[in-house]
Amino acid sequence: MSSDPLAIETVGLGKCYRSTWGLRDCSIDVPEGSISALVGPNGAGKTTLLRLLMGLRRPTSGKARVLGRPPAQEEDFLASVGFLAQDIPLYRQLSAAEHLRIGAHLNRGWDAVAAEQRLAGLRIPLDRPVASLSGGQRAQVALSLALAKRPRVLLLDEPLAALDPLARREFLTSLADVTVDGDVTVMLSSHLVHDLERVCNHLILLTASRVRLCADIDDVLSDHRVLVGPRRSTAELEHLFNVVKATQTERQSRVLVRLDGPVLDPEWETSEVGLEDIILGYMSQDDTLAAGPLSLAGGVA
Amino acid sequence: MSSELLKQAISFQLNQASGIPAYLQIVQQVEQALRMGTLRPGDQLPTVKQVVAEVTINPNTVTKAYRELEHAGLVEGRQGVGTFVLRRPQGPPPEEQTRLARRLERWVETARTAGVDDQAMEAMLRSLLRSAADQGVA
Amino acid sequence: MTYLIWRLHRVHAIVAAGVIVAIAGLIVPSGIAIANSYHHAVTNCSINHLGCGDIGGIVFGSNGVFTSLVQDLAMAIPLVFGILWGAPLVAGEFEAGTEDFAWTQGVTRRRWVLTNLGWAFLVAAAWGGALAVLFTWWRGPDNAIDGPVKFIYFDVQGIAPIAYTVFAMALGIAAGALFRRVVPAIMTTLVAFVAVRIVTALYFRPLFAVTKNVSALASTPPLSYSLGQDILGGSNTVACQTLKCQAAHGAYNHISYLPASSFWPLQGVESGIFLVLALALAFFTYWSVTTREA
Repeated sequence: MSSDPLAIETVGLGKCYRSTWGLRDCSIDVPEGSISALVGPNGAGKTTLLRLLMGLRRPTSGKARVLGRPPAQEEDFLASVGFLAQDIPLYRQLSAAEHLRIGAHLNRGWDAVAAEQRLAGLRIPLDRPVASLSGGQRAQVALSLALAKRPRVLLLDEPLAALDPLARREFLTSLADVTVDGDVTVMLSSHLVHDLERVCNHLILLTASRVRLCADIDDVLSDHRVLVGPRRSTAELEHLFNVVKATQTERQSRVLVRLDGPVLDPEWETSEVGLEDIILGYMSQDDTLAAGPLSLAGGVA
Repeated sequence: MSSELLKQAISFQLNQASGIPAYLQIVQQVEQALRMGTLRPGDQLPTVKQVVAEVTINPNTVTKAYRELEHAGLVEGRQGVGTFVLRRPQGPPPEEQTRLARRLERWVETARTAGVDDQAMEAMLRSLLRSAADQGVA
Repeated sequence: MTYLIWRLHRVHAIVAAGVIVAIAGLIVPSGIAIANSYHHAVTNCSINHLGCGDIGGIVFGSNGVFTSLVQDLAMAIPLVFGILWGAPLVAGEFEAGTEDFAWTQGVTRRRWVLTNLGWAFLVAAAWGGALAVLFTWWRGPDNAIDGPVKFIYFDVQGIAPIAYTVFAMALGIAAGALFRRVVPAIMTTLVAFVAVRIVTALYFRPLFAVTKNVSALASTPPLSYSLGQDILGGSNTVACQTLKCQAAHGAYNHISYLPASSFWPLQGVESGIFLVLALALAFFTYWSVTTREA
């Protein structure tokens, strides 16, 4: 169990919309200073989780703590937690400079100079209406605004979605740069595991409104293996291992497993597996296999 | 053609497909630069900020890599200033390395003539190294 | 927060100010001319005993169309506030998605909505007040000729325009907060504003009416607003051709009217009603913004 202080923790957090649960029984720990990838298919609950953490929605069950306190409509909280919604909300007719001026009036502790320098460094014009900027430039403006209030936690909902590869790379570089001093904890959701893997050191995986993984990425990589061996029945496999996904042919079983210790049976050929494949393995499970949340931090949940 | 001139001693690259952890790639690239003489004792390693800006990588990864190098006695971190090279890694000088490389070339030619393809050669080398590591050989 | 409101609504504010200036530009010269004309007509009547029966015709003769148009305009414009400034206030943020920006800065939703409501109501009241001042002054002579209580005359002077404009603004904002979409908010504001205004004018004001029976030869008092006259009663009036004949047979005029003296009481009560409605709508908006989820 990491001894770092936690920037974000939730216990049994859940949100019900009319008849469906957008998020259920969500318990996560996010260490301070980390960059977390929040990953999962559409409708898995990523947006719900981020909005609950920002206090834009209220939980139906469980609780959340961000920087040690529940999210609230209070100026202290709003000053220390930054949020960047999907669709990059900006006033289309206003320029970046005007957004900065608005931000200065709405926030205490506003660092406009750093934001301007940042945007100048990215060669983004400050005086044109943001509607005339490219998607990547708008994302950078929105990020600069979110950072200008010097938040200690930054929550981003699919910030990479509308960006081309170069813009994505620049955005992720900016995020990584922000955490160099160690004062900011970042959580961003995305589908693009390949890009996230460079910059994120923590992973939260949601499928079907539940948490499947919440751990450091290094731990995820070292704890998962693909085992190939002679055909066994599904029941046998589940008895032997923590199976994430099993592929069977007539002669062979290939299983993605989460290990508790070394595999001693020489019949199994072990190989490492990349993060994207691990995540896809969890995402292709149906709900019957995974009965509850898994947490790698501190062992089996 | 696009080119960048960076104000740092060496530049890095991350190969996500290689299966080698990111921090280890940084360590290896620093060690290689030391061996080749690109980095000399007293030189400053790129700052964490500089590496992040170039490679788009988590700052902790860089910190971890530099700590490994510090552990191995190759570099020294000075609080508030940066990380500086102490010495070259132990190992043969460039001339010896070139000699070894030529011997390897000859082996590769021999193996190819014998009908061993590249992948088989790689697998052979990998399992040799793994078993050597398991036996505790440095 | 004030800066944000100014930046997002400055065009609205400038246009509103411009409209008042334009209206003033129309009716100030007109009002001066009317006042002069009235003064001459009254003098002519009292000194020369000429034209005393048709002072209204003398003063307004050729300007009848203009005066009705301008007053109709003054009736409609409060609604425009509700539609252009009020409806997009909350709804526009949701349609553009910018509520995710506005409500994650260092300002709570509570402060956001209260400051917005405060400024919107202030501007609406000021604008309505300016309109009321202009028209109350302009209508001076006509009030002396035709009374202030008639429909439309009543609505453009006194303090009622303030209440109507604030109500329209509150309605637009609340509709926007309810639907979170601008077009439904605009439609709702339009329909509701017109409906409430019509209902108060048609059903509420008559509650203050005076009803009595007077001579068949008499009519509603001068300067009052006639709500109805009926010649009733009398015997054997079928053959009568003239009112004089009917009066002789005992018929009387059953009249219902709003007296001129009811102007201020009615202004006070009707404005009070609209302001209370506006307050209720403001409470709804406050609840919607601070409690409903984004």
